[in-house]
Amino acid sequence: MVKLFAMSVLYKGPNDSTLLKSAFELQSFGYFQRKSVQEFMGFVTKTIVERTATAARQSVKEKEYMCHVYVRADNLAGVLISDDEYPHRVAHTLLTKTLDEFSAKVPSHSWPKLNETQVTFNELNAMLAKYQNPKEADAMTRIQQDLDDTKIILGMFVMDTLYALNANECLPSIVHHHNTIEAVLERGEKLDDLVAKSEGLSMQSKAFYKTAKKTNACCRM
Amino acid sequence: MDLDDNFPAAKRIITEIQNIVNSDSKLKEFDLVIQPESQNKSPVIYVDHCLGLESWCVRHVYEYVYQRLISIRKRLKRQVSNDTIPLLTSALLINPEVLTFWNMRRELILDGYLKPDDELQFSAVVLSFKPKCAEIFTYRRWIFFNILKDFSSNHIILNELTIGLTAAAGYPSNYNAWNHCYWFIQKSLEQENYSLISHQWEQTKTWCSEHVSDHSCMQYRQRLLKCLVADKKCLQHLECCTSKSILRFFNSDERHKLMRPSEDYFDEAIGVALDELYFNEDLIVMYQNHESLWNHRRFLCYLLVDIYNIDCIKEALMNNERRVSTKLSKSNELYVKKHVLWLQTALCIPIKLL
Repeated sequence: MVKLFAMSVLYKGPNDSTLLKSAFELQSFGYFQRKSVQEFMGFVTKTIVERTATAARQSVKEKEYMCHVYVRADNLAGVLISDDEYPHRVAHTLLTKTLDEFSAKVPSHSWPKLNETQVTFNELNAMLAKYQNPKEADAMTRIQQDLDDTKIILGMFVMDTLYALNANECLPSIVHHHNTIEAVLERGEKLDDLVAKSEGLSMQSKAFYKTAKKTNACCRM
Repeated sequence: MDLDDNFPAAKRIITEIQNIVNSDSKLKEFDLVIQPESQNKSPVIYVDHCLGLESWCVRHVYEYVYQRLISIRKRLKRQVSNDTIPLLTSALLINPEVLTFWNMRRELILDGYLKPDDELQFSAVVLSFKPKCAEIFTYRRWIFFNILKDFSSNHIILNELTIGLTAAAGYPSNYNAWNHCYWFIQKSLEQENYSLISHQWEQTKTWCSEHVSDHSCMQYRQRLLKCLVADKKCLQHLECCTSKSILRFFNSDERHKLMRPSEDYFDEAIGVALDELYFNEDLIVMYQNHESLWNHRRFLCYLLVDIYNIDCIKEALMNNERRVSTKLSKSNELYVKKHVLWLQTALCIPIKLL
């Protein structure tokens, strides 16, 4: 499926990350699963920003899902969760665009103090709907056509680096590709422990995670 | 037979489920809701036309209904009581892969205890839980073929095609769902109804571009395309400007050779196939390295050469595939190599990559 499930903007603080805005499109999940899926995606989003260095990009594959993350040099971060059919290059371009629009709308000095309820940035929902079709992003990707030639390899750990997708930025950001969430966690960290400790996940979602893990599928039992 | 009754709540739960199924004609989903322990309330959840059963009780409920149903079946006496139906409903919602239970429902339809229309509704709900389950599709086709026996209404068949498409979206490469759709297309063609095939041809085009690694959807389109090129009557409802593809694919000399007054649909059919070839190219450019797209391309090349076995087609195809292979050789290296090799060995079309 070529699909975007969630897009979020966060601020990466020195110790943890705060969610500033998020949008979801979860109609393809069953009615009773949506709540847990949303909570879990929120949890993954926050965790992955905390484990990504400043001025870096990462793409993490977890089963049939992809989680793309971009943390800018000014610590504004964007996370996009998509199906693995969604073109990775478009996903990263979209993150760049989203963060540009966000910073144009919300002044940077306020980021460290804001939380989700205080931010108005409804464009995020519109963008999530519009770019379900990656062709919509064609116009903005054309500028970066030359990046098509860069090969992206998915591997257990950092396999490949490529230069900045963001033409505006002189600093070369680096895109790391991983194929499980576990690979981006710090040494000794276990996803199971993080899930168990998390305060953002309800009891039901934790049980959902355990069951999904047992049956080796994220959304079907 | 002695049935253990260590889960007394089961009877109440299955009655509750049956009541919801009976009363809500718009019920659309069934699912298990993860809940490791009993919450001291009914495990049946019913919101917004969606029915959920908490996971802790599933095992007990299923054991309860399974034992009873098997013992009813073993007595071989047709014991149709109002008790059997709720047992079957819960059993099939939880585990729709048991053919015996569907057969018991078939008998109940034949004896007039269940209505075919209600059964179509019920099996659609079961399908929302297990979208790939073959027994459900077979049951639906059985109802259409043996009970309703009516394939003339576009409305009914369109509804069935929508159900197939929804199931296909619920499980990747869901061959059973696509096969179900194709069965109905065949039935409509037998009735000399040619509008549905063009409808499906258009509709699944969008669907394919949203599910680029779905092998079964591509294969369904291949089956449709075979029908379209085989019978010109199938083309009559198709709205597409195929002439552009023909102009793009052939040079003027080749087009001249193609003009054959005896086969007036020739141009149109080849245009449909060429449209698909260009559509496939667009998808490959956008979505790199998907085997399903390259397999589909192989089929299209084979079809063009096989049906229109003339030199100018091979020539034009060779030029086209050379252009595509060169363009994509960097981004889809492995698949381009395979494709070129296949063109050489299977179709005797030599292509030298630059």
